[in-house]
Amino acid sequence: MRSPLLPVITFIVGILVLAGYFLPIPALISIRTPMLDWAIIVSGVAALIAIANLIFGVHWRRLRDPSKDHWFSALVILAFLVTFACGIFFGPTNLGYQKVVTAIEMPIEASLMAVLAVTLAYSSLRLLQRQHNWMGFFFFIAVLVFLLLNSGIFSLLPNLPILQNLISGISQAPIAGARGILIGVALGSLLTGIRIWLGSDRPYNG
Amino acid sequence: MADIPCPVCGRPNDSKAERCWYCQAVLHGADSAVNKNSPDWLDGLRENVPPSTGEEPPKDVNAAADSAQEGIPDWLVRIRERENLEKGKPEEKETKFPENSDSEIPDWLTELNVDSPNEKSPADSTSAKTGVPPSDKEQPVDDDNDWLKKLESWQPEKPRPEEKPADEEPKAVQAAPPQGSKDEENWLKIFKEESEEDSQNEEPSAQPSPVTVNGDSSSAFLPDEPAPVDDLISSAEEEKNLPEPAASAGTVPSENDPAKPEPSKKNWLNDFTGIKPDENLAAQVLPPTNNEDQPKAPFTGDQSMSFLDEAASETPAAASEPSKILEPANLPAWIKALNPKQSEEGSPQDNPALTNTPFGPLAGIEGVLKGEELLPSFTPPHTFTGTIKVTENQQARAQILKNIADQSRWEDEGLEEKSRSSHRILHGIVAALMLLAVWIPLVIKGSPSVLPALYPGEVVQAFNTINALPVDKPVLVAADFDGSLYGELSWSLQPLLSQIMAKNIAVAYLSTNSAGATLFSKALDPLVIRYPNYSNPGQLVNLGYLAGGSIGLQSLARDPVTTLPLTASLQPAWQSKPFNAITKISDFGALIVITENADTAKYWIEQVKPSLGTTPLIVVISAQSAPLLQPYYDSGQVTGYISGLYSAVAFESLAKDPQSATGHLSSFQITLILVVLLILVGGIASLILYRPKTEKKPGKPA
Repeated sequence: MRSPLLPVITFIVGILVLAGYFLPIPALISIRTPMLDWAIIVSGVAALIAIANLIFGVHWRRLRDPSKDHWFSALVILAFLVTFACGIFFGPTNLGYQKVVTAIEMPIEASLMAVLAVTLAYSSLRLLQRQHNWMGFFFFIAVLVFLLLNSGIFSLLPNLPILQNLISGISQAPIAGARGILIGVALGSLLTGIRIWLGSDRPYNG
Repeated sequence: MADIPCPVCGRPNDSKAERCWYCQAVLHGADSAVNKNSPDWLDGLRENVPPSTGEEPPKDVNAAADSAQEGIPDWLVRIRERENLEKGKPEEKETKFPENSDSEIPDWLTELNVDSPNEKSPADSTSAKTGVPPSDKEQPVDDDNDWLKKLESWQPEKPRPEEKPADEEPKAVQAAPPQGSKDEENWLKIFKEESEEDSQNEEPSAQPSPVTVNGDSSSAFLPDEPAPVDDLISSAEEEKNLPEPAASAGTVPSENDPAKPEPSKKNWLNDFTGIKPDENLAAQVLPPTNNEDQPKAPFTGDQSMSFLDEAASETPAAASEPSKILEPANLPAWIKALNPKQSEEGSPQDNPALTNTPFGPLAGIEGVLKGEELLPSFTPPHTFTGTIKVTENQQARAQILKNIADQSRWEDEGLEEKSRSSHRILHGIVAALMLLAVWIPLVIKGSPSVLPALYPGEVVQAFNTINALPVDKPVLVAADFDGSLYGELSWSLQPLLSQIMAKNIAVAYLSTNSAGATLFSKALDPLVIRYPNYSNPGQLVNLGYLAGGSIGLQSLARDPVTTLPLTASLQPAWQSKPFNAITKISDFGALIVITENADTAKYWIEQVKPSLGTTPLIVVISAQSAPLLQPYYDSGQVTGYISGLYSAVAFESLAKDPQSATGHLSSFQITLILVVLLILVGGIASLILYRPKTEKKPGKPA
């Protein structure tokens, strides 16, 4: 049986932080402030623990397994150790150290995004071939319309009132969908918070 | 004064006590005192009934001889002698009554006393059951103590039992002697001979007959009839000395052998010494329940209430018939419906064994629910397992998802090598066209592009806000983006930062992303080159990485100085001018959030905006997340925002300072138009060349 201590602590802390957020009482703020500082420190340490687990818990174990290819794991461990040592030695604001991000990380991520753009364009060619139904056709038309809208090509015809009104109305359609998504996300976040607060969900139990 | 022993439990009681302190039985002395002091209306009835055997007169030998000659038993002779003596001494009777006793006796009771000897009393049937011959005057000695039987003489004349068929009468009634004087004399003679033989062979029983006690117990334990109890006890004691016929007259012989005297048995009350609380109360109080050994009580409930039954005989004959089987109760229908067995197998009358419980508190009562029968109807509690219950709809949806996944795998695995190579070629052609569409406008100067004719409202608001920023207040920039969308965001933020740096407004930047601050520093490189005077020490402060996500934003909104005390180079962040004026988040001139993720923008808006007050919040966001930010702009939580390349071009157009965004607009628009054309052509081709998939038959080769 799980100990009820953790849900009780969660409930009390949730009450204090929530009350300190809505009620500007100095006593509550004095309790809430150090709790938030602790949370920031714990989250930073958690990130460090996650990195250590990735290096020593996953890739180091792969190196010790002769049945698996361990070259990439060795490369990951080596890159981590070098980057970590440089960061400690030079500091994060060093221009040479920032090349790790600007010359390696950013081009890789940008390249993946470019490949994604090409892949999406190629997949769109076969959109109706795979989804030969009315939903696929509707999606096909929507893709074309919004690509043209974002390109700004309709600015060639600024004097057509009907077209401008139509474009303005169509541009509101994604906003309507976004509002629905935001409301759903807000309700889901509220429910998740309440469930954790009341102990129904216990992600802290592991 | 001497104590009076209780006739029931034998324990001593005070002489003044009317009832036993232990068992609440009526005491002798108390009863006698009560009888002397209070008028007993039942005493008036004794004028016409035989006296108690306790007042047995001296035995007259001559009278007995005469009676023997007449064929009358001795006990009857004694009764008659006693009656004659009482008639000859009326003054002794009168002394027992108060002077006005006659006046207090009701007239109807006096008439009953006068008429009762001449009437045929229903008690004859009772006497028949007991084996005592009925007579107009000769009553058994024991009947003298039974006051209820005396009351039967009050009843009006009832229809004679012979009106009923003989076979319907109870067995005891059939054993009654025939009516008439001749028959009476015959059976009396037989009875006398047998009684004389028994009296010669047997001695009177030393112990009181348990039958007598039991028979009288029904009246002895009635608290409202003290006088019969007095007579009962005295008669019970004196019955020991009675001759056997007389003693047997007070008893009820067994039905099989009515004339045979009952053997004397040990009185169970003699062993009764009191109620023991730790033992069963019923076993201590009630007499032994061995019905076979114990003779039938002379006074049973059915017999005592026989006159009531006869009164009820005035009703239809079917209702007056005595039945030995209790009629089952008429239960309501809803109670019958509760019994599943009964509802299935019929009524209790149909199958009494099902509803006649042989034990328990409801034993013998028909129509009751059997607790034991209900036990099989109880089932053990349901056990809930941890397995997932999948409904049909959920299975259908899972099947759809599985089909989609299988289809994509089939297309990859089922394609022939020739078809696969053609797909690869087509994929390469699309990629090449897109690269050309991007690269050619950048190479060829003066490529056509369409500038925005109308400026979005959020861009105009952002532009106006930046132009209205105070110079002495620094701006806080949150660079929460990664390298994948660096190209888009760097073009979007440059016109905005150009405006800020053109006004020489100090900037402090941070990131909740580990690479955000470094990427923002890279984005500032062309601007630093463009505005060389801006690069004074202290104008740009890198606050570095802010841990904790939304919690870190909470802390920053509460106290930015404490949350980020040092810069990324571990220098004090809030000592140089103009940052030394910052004590809270609202002291900044504006907050600019640069992100490609709508959730990150949402965190900043929800956690930090309430602490900003009137400080404007401007967001530079990717075009893909712009619709999710629009509701915050509509609600006023976001002052303005720039989304994507086209909004940056609009901002540059407003600022009349074309930069990177405008220079890449042509490439952007041509590439988008190319993609639209490719999708349109591919869609039309798919509609024309579409062939529905046919399932392969198992008999045909693939």
